[in-house]
Amino acid sequence: MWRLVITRLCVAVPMIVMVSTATFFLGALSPIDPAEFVLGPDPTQEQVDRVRQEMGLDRPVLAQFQEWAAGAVRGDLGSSVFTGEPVSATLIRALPVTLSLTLGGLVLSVLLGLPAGIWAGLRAGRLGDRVTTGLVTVGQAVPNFWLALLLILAFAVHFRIFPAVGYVPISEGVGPWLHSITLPSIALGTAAGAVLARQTRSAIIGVLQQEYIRTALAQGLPRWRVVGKFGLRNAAVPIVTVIAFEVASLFGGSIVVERMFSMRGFGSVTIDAVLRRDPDVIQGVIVIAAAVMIVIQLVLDLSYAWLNPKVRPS
Amino acid sequence: MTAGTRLRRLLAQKATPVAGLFLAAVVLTALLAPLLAPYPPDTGDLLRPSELPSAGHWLGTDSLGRDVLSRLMYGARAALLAALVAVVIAVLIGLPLGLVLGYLGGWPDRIAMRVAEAVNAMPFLLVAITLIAILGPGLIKSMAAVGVIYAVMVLRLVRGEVLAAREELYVTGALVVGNRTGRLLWRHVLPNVAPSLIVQITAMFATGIIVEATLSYLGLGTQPPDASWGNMLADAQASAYDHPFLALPAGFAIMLTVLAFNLFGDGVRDLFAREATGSVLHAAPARRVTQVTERAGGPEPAGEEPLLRVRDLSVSFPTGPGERADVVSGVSFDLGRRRMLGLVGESGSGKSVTAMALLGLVPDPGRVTAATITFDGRELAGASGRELRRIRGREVGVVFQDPLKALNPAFTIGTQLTEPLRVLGGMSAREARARAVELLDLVRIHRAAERLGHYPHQFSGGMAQRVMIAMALSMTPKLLIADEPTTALDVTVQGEVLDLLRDLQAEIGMSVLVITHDQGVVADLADDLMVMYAGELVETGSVRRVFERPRHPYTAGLLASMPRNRPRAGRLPAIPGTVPHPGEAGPGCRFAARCPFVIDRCREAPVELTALGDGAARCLRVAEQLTFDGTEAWTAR
Ligand code: SF4
Repeated sequence: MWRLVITRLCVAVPMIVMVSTATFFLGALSPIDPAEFVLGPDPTQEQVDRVRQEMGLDRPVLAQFQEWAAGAVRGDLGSSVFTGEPVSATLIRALPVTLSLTLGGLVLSVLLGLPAGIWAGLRAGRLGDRVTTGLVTVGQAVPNFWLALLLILAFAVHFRIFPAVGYVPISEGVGPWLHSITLPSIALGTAAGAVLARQTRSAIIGVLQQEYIRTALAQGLPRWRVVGKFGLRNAAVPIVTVIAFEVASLFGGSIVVERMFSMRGFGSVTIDAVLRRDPDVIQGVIVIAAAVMIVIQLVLDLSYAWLNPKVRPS
Repeated sequence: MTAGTRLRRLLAQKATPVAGLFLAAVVLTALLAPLLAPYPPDTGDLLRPSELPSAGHWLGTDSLGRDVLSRLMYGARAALLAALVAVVIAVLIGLPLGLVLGYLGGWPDRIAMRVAEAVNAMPFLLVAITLIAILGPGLIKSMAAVGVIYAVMVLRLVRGEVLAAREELYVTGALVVGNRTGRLLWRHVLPNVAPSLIVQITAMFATGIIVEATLSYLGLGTQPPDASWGNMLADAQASAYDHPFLALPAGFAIMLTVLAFNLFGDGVRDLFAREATGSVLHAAPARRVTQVTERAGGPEPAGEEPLLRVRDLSVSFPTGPGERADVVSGVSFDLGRRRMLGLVGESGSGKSVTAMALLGLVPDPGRVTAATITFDGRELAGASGRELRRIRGREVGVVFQDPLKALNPAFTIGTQLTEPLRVLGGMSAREARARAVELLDLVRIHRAAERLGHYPHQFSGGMAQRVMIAMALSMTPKLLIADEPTTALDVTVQGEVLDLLRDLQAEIGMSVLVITHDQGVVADLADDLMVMYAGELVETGSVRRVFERPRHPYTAGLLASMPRNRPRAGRLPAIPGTVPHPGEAGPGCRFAARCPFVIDRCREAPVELTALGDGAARCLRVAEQLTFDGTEAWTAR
């Protein structure tokens, strides 16, 4: 088990280095000059030169990268051109919001998608399956931010049960926190749940066609036992893969949904940074996101090892 | 499959044509928006803001008094254009790159795959936004960024197909001539990659529409005042309190268009690979029907009631809408107590299905009927699933062909062995474990207690098959069905497994039905023999009699192709041709197409199984005492 963790981490470090390097140099290639954004329209050449010098943009790209990397290793990701706030501080403030929504969406999608998918998979080709599959197809087509808007209209504007805007940190109480993330989680989790249901269904169908299911039935085991004890465990590997992939897409999806609920999460930070060309912030966002994804990948690998004895080092 | 049947299948699905028509309407609207739109999209009547639908404005107006319907039509342009840009870029980059990488292999391929993996592991939207940060916002630029990410998906797909094609070409030996490899691959890959690429493209269109709307909503895509479904929703958010209706038109436009793309994609996928949903989990037990043929095929054991008596067992599968074909038709036989009966035939003859039908293990769309299946005095034809389940495991054990597939890879063999002991036998965990150790000892597996904790992949094929046998015997059944017990095994261990089976039968005193295409197995083990061809029994009798004096040309052909009957060097004569597909054998003798003794009369009407004292045969010319001496009959053809 520990060997797996260590191997993974050995892969993780170069991966983060690769991602940050790529972002940095692609950013440097960009035709857009951050200095012009700081100054507003039609600056004089002297102004531009002065700002570029202040921002360190006049130096060779390699030197800029060296400086950034040296800082990054110490945990200093630079600071925003606009607010002057250290990037790490901004991100530490934003991350809990996005992670809360990701988690809420994940929990919801699993609660919806897993039972629906299993149910449909066991009834493949019958009426119940067709109805579920139909609902799933519709669910997949609903853009999450539109659903968010509809939820706001229904439960915040019309019924006033949930807040339309704002995030309450968990430190202010679990109840208020849950209250604030309920609508965004539903908006995020629905499409994700639909995807999960679809994949779970096909995983179940695939497993039921395996010979070892026939063996278990030939042993005289009751159907519920064959499905409940053996089938679900076998279907778990593809399902876990989908869930892990889903975490990434929920993380990305929360960028939009946050915006709809006016929450200051990763999404707002990213979008503001992109619209204002704030290079250090963009860089920081990507590096932290990559780190989060690597952690998720690690959790996924560990659960694989638990589910599938073949990859478990003996 | 021809283009014609494909088209018919496409139309047979109800959803696909509807989705197709809807998409066509969206495309037309987008193209003709300047002509169709009743108002200009970006200038509004400021005196009439936020109106509900009316005769003048079918979908009302937004907060700037702009006509929502007109903006919706122009929004379709933005959506489709955006998706098109992304897809075109994806294919232009991904297709050639995938072909080249798959063809070259080596380190460029490895590096590219690492990058692709990293891109795929990151949140899609975040990567897209980062790329937009580099290219700058705007509809075309942002969708170009999306196209680059899509290209990674296309690349992976195409590369996978190239690798598969390479493999196949090596296997078929087409790749030995090195210099034309490129062209060969090209010819081979494109038709293979086309179906999945088409499905992938429809999926990219669907997500592309959502991504465009998302980016435009965020202000990174279509820039106001240009209309896009995404920024229409941003407007709707701004006026959520005073004009909630605005949220509906653009949202439904996105949803329906995406839905149509997805349904269309599903329809296309269905054309190329139909999802198999049938499962043995839903297997129906045999239905009871009245007997049509009088005579049992097998040798009638004198006196004692047989353990198993089967009459008129048939199994059919659907071949098309409302059509079924028999894969097993009218099989009748008896299996005496402590006897070993061999069932032989080529693959496709229906022998395994016959055995599974006895236990109600024919997968879902299959339908089983029988006049009687009497097992140890109980009637199984017409019995409920629950009654059949009582027989399975407890009274009938099954050994399957490939132990490494038949054993569950995710559980230790200990779990798999003890599960039925505990659930059916009511043993405690400790008792079940002790019994499992006994069972492994019984099948001569050493260090039994330790091996219980091992997973199937830690066993060799021969050892795994012993485990399988132990599982089948765990409840001391009266009948053991061995379905090709040695076929998947290494030649060197086949003999050991057969010896084990023979010894165990003697020890336990059970009856055995052994299914095989290898007459050697039957010769070694069985007392009686049944030969099956295209779903029918064609010859039955004692092993000794059939081996000495086969009566059916097919039996003779099978025997002639046994290595031990041809001691001298030379190629084994095989029966030319293959078993006809169910329902395609024609009205007469099902073997007629491959039979060297065929006469016109053979092809006219079904041939009955004729009883001949010490067995039976299904051949018109059986009375002529045909001689099959030598194998000229087979080699001559
Ligand atoms: S009935 Fe005719 S075709 Fe069929 S096996 Fe006999 S001789 Fe051959």
